[in-house]
Amino acid sequence: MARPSEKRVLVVDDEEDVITFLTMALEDAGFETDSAQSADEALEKVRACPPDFISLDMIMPGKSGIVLFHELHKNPAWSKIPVLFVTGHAKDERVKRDMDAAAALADSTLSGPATYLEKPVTAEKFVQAVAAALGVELAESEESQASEGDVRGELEHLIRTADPEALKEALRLLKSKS
Amino acid sequence: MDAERPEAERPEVRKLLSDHLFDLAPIMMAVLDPEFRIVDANAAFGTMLGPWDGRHCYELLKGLSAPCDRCQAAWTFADGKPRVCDDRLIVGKGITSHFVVRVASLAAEGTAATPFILWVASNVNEASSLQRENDILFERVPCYVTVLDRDLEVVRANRRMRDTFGKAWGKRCWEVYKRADRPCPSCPALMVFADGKEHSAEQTGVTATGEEAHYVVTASPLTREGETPDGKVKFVIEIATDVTHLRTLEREKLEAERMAAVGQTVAGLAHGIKNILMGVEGGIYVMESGMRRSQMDRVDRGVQMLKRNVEKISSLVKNLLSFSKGRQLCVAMVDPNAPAREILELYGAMAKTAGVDLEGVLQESLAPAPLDAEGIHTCLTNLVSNAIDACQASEKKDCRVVLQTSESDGALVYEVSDNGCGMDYEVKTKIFTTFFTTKGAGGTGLGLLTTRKIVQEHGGKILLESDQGKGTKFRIVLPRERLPVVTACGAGVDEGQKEGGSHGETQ
Repeated sequence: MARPSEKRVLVVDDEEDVITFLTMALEDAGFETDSAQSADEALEKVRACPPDFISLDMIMPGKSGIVLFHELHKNPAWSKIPVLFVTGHAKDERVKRDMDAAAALADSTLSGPATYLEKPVTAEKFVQAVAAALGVELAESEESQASEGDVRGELEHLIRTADPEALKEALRLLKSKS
Repeated sequence: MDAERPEAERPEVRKLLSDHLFDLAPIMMAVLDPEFRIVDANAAFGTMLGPWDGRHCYELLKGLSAPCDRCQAAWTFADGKPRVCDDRLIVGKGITSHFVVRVASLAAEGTAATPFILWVASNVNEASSLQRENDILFERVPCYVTVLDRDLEVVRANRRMRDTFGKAWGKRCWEVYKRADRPCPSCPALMVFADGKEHSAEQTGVTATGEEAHYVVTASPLTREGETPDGKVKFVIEIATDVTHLRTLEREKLEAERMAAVGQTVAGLAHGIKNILMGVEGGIYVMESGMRRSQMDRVDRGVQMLKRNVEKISSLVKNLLSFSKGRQLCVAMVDPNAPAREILELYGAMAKTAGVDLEGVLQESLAPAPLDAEGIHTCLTNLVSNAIDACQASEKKDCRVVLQTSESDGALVYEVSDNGCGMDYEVKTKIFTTFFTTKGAGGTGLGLLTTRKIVQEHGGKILLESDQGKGTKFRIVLPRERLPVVTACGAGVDEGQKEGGSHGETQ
């Protein structure tokens, strides 16, 4: 199985916060990332260096996600790039129909069960969907990595999960030390 | 000159008539004695009724063995005065036909007694069957039909009229139709009496059972051309079609449209919330992972994301509240061009700064219409500012926005077109969704929704044509007949009092 670091994911969304969120979640899982805030910018990035995977928003100013998808599909090389739609409009009849049609087109290239995720999406679910589609094995969870590498982080983790009595004891100990 | 004299005055014609008039006349004539025996009859009589010599008229004409009950001839024998009546006579085996019968005394000049009577009958069967058809038409036509005199008194009313509104004959039309105590303000019958032309109006009346009835009434003069030399119409016929059912359907449809708009608003709200939740989810992720790694810059970034999205929620709630509360329509008769002129003035300079040419093409002399001028102003503001945005989003150099007003097929039309960036079909399906915006942080996603709401409250619709890269055209179409009624909402009425009503419905 491939490692996340071998895969580069292009995140396309017009909302900067969404890009920050999704790229950070992917990077934390070890993926390489790139981002674009419009369909045209995404097309430029694909042209310059085709990614291994595209996370695509549906509704954006100017060209929509579905238009970008069909443009990508015109190029045989780009049409093989798996695409995951991430949209808040997944329940809309028309958007749903478009995504289903796109999924049918892309059937042979998408390996995961999901062709779209509905916003809001958790980091875990999103990363898992990308990994599943790419056939990538994820490393152990970030939480355990963090607790090994960082005493403060471990402490914070303990504080979050400790019962009130243990917290009182810890506070007493910390106060007596300082 | 001889040739110019009427035929009847020429001696040879007079002779011909006195010798043969009796037999040449194309109507039946007979002479009766006081026993009602036919003592002479003309050719037409013989042709129609066969041998008559010595027979009694009641026997030959009516198949009776004694004189008729209301025998006109008997009265003329008594008083010598001529009489007219209509009668059914036997013209063949089992066949009767309608006739107008006249009887006149054949008394010699200066004598009082009537020795014989001249009996004349003309067949009016055709006229009478036409009359019957007319009667049936009048009675059975699925409309309310009344004939009114100049005092607006009902002199005739058909069955449907009587069945629905009760006894009408002898009453004033407004009493019958509306249970009112004075004529209607827009009485079409009075207009007919005034100008002799046909007039129509839509009215709401009250039936005999107290239900509301909506009808479209057409009033026409009950005269034929040249019948009233003084030009005065004596009677008016009012034909009213009941449209209560249609009005009910229309009201239900408007209500359904309103409900659909509520549904769309809720769906739109869900989209808006979903997008914000995505940002919140992202903020939490970034902050938490920052905390785990003790990376304060990352925590900060997460907090900023959360703050931004909390801000979005509060502005969404604010917008939603102001949208749902809206404002009541304040309808007055206004020049439809007035709001358009204001917009052109307001946005002219701003468009110029943006490098966009804003042009107005207003159809002059549009009749005043019952509109909420401020609402229309809001609609045009939204459309024009959208159009200017679309121009700025396009890379074209010579961008222009045209605001047009016109009237066609009884509808006022406001049109805003631009040659800006246009929309792809997906955006087109979304533009009337609440909080849908392609302008990122720059838009509330409420402008077009508000516009549509106002247009719907005016009974109109908003249409869209857009081609990506070519431009967009919005048309607001307001059929005059569906426009709201003028509301009393002067400056003295405060916003609070105006809320909660349901003005703006087309009744």
